[in-house]
Amino acid sequence: MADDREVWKRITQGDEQAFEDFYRQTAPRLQAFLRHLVGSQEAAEDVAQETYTAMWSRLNGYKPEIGELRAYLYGAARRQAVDWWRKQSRTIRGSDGDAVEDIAVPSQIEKRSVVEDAFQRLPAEQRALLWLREVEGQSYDELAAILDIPTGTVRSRLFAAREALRSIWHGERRSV
Amino acid sequence: MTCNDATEFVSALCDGETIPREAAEHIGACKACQAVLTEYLEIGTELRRVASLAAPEAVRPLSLKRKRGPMRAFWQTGWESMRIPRFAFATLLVGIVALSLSLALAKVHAKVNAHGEGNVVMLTVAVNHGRPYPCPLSTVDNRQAQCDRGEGFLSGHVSYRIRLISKEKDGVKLGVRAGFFFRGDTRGVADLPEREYFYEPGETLEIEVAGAGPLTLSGEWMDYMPYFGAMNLENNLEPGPDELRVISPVLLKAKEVVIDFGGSSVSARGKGSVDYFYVPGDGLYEFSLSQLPGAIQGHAENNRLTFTVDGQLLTLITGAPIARGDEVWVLHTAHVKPADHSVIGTEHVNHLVPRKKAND
Repeated sequence: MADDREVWKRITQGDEQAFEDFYRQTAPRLQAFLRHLVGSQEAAEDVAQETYTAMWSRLNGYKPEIGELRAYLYGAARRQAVDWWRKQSRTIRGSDGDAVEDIAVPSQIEKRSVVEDAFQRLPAEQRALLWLREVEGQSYDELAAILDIPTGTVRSRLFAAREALRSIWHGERRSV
Repeated sequence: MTCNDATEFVSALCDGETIPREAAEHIGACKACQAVLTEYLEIGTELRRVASLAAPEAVRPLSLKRKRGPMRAFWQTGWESMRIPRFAFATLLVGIVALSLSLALAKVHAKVNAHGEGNVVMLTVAVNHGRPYPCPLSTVDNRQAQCDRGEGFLSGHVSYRIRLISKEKDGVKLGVRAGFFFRGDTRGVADLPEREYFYEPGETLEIEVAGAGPLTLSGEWMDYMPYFGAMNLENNLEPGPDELRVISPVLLKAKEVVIDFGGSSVSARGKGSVDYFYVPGDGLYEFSLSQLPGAIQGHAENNRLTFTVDGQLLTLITGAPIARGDEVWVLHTAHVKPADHSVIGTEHVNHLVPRKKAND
């Protein structure tokens, strides 16, 4: 991908084609990330569309001097996913409870790898953190920006997420 | 340094971060920490493998010209393909709303410490160690001795029905039906066998539900039934910005009570969402923050909604503020009722509950 500043400069000048290119390059991986946050491909597509639409409508939201465009994109997507869950929670239960962590897919139901099953049982925050680190290779600084947490907290949160996943994984391997 | 101290640095090492010399020396010499490091690396490898399978090759075209319509809610998606009785699903939704709204209030109610002195067992029930929901069961009023609830997952839903059969010494005998239903399964919780359990408040009872993990019951005695049609007091009395709450409604016509739904509550959220209830002999009333075709504008003020039908002033009084704004749209359709026999519920304009002619 071209340099973030160059890409964003074209986009902020209203270059729709530049934004379309950016979308095509980044959307598949973003959707894969979102699918693990919102639980289905369709919902992930919806949230991804909302994310890009919101970016396009608020072009002053990204500041190249603060961080990478990709980190900004994933942070925005994560916030959209949280909003999406809130809407689901309200629709389903009529409450203000945060449903991100309490709706998980029972692993017994769908055929997946043992690690993926265990991964789905993690709270959403830990899923996001591990995915962004292990799959997207985001740095600690980028993770801090995406997740709105101090950089110093990233290490301990990653450790907690890995330990939680390892613990579930061990439990599942024992039960197989 | 111990393994416990070093494990966090094992995680950091995975990420290529610099770690203290003391931690590095421990990990270098410790087989257990090296095993943890190997497992962390395996986890990362597996996640990347999963990711490579998960990323779609093609994405849907991006539409920047206008914002998409409201995203389809989980239950709306399910509604289209749902083959379980819609009445059951509507009941389930109502149950979810009523139960969740009552959770906060239940917390502030008086608890009875002495064994068996209360006449209500305030159960909380969690599916697969998830969020607990209240299930108060009266030992003296059969009408309030049962609770139903459903919880949706991607592949289907868990439903349970818990019935208080009798009060026993220091506890109660419960009848429990619970099961996991894959999407497309036309059975309901009533089709499951009822199993009896003795439950002593203060204890925890786990009931295994095949395919969904355990149903965990815990609870305590209370001296009275929590007010059920209540609102989410724990956070605030304010409805959400796009919320229309109809909490324990009473409909008045010329100061006469037309119907009293005491204890039943519905809450519609989002554009196009509709609360409805059916009044036998009168018809269907639908309420929305959006203008429904043929609807008339009502005026909401706190927990009171006034509107006019056929020249008569009607007042809906509820147990909590109805909406943030004062504009609520009301559609009255005479001699019509939901085909699924529901009497109160929430629906969406794009997925209306089917109607049928009411002969009563």
